[in-house]
Amino acid sequence: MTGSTRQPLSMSRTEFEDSLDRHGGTLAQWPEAERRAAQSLVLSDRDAAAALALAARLDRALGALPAAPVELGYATRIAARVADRMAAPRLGRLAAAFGTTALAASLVAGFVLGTTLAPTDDASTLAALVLPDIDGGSSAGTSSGGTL
Amino acid sequence: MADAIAAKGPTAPAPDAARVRHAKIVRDGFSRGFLMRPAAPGATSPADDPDAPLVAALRQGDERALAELIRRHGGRLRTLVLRFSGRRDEADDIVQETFVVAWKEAARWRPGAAPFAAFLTRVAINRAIDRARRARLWRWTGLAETAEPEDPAPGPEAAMIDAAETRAVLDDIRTLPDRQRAAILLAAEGDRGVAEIAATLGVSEGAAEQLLVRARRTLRTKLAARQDAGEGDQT
Repeated sequence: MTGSTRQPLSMSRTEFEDSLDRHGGTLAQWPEAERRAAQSLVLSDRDAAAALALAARLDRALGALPAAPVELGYATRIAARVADRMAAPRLGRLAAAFGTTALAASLVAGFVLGTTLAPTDDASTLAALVLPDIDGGSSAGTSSGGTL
Repeated sequence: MADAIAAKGPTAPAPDAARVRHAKIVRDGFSRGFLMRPAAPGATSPADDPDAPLVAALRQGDERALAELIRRHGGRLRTLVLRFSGRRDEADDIVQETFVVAWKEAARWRPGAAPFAAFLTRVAINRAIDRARRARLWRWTGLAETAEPEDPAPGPEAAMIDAAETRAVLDDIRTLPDRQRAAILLAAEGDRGVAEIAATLGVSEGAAEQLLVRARRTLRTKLAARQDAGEGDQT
């Protein structure tokens, strides 16, 4: 708030319009020095007076913006929707927790099985099935086929 | 508007000193981490916030407290968001999301921090801004099925627009950039100062003032253009 002892300043139209958008269209709500300068301008400048009137109209329109109706039961309806939303994450967390537990259990089981079950001679068996007898033995995989 | 103001309850018009103190509390509360801030001695007391007992009950999972908070603030928030977006379905979704956040955050709220009503307003308007941004992005990418409709069907709220000029101004408001739109709508609720608007939008007071000035300038220019056009039609 500008001190009331200050002399009213002269005000250009641009300054007036800046103040109009800053303080609104009711001069009584302006800081005193600006108000006095604005009053002087409005008395001598028809365009400034028109701008002031327009700003006041805008203020009235802003003050009269419609309110949304609140139907009977609106609060109950929204409360129910909120409660549903609050319940859903709990189920989600439960599912996530279950999934994490299942994954951890399967990893542990795999590790335990992999480390505790005795190895068979499956390695050699498998090799015999899929690899040719590199020693030139009588493996089924090495027939008497010719050479290239 | 009178209804909207009356519906506000805890933020009803107050004397200047109280309003300044309220704005300071809101600003301090927001800037320090709205909910976690402990009660500052002398800042305010739980008795200053009529929602404090309800938030305490909500903390215990009391759904009746939630319903009462919605009854107190739901209409005001719905009005704010509906003015912002023009879509009733979106407004209801945002009100719902706001109270989901309220429920989740209730345990962290401390009496003496910013009023719970201000917290609700902040959540709602920021959700509205986020949705508007996302909607623009979808439209820009061409992935949105249709352009976002404005007031898709004339609903009961349309009937409450009793003046063509008010309706035109509301349409103009919806063309403003998001933050200007939010600032002017918060100001239009009647009793918010620049400090509280700044705190609600998470910007400095200077930035909030600039948002308001630009918004008013645009709205005034459009109003003048309509006036000139109307006078031109009559001649």
